[in-house]
Amino acid sequence: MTDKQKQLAWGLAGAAVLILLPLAVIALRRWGLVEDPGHDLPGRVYGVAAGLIIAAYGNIAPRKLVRYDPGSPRPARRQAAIRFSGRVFVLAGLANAAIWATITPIDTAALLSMVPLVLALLLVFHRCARLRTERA
Amino acid sequence: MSSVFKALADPIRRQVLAYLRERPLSAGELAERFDVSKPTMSAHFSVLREAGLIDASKHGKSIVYRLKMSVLEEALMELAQAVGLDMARTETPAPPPTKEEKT
Repeated sequence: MTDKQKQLAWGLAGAAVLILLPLAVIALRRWGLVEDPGHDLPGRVYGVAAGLIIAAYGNIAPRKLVRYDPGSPRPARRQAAIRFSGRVFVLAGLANAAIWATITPIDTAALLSMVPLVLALLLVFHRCARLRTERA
Repeated sequence: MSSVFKALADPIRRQVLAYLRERPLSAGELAERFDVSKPTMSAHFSVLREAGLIDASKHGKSIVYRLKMSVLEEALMELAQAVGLDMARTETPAPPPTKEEKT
């Protein structure tokens, strides 16, 4: 299996998890195997899974994206930016999942869950901009 | 995962990873930062490569190493550094045999 095929397989597996997990929760609820007093469990499970997938992608990003390019004028900065992004998205994904799991009602959780992701994006843009302007 | 712990247990290998966190470096650039023989250094590189923590690519005559650690592995390394994990002082890899030893 080539790297591209592996990436595609992992992407499809992630998508399958996001679709099948809430469906499984709906089925379990129908059969009376799980209680869902707030009628929001499938949505929460979807949110937690999405947060964990973001964290998982953040975790492997430095492994997959850092390459040695002899033509690159600033390999250190490129590597620093990718490693920083990976760490930030691991934390943001975990925070996102924790918000979906704990905050009630679900509408508030949906709104608040965006905060760590937006913050992560802003932090990464800020870091990249700083690395671009820093003196070698 | 045990190969990762084994690789992170040695202070020299952790130091190699720390240098590679700054930027990709050639085998020569890395070797000159340590007071150990080249065969020993090469054995350390092998352990790190087997654990999947670094990647090597050939550019001209030199081999360039780059870090290939996930965020979790990097956190483990920082933890090992912080608690002074030093279990592999006793298991520094033997350098590969020289030509004379092979014959």
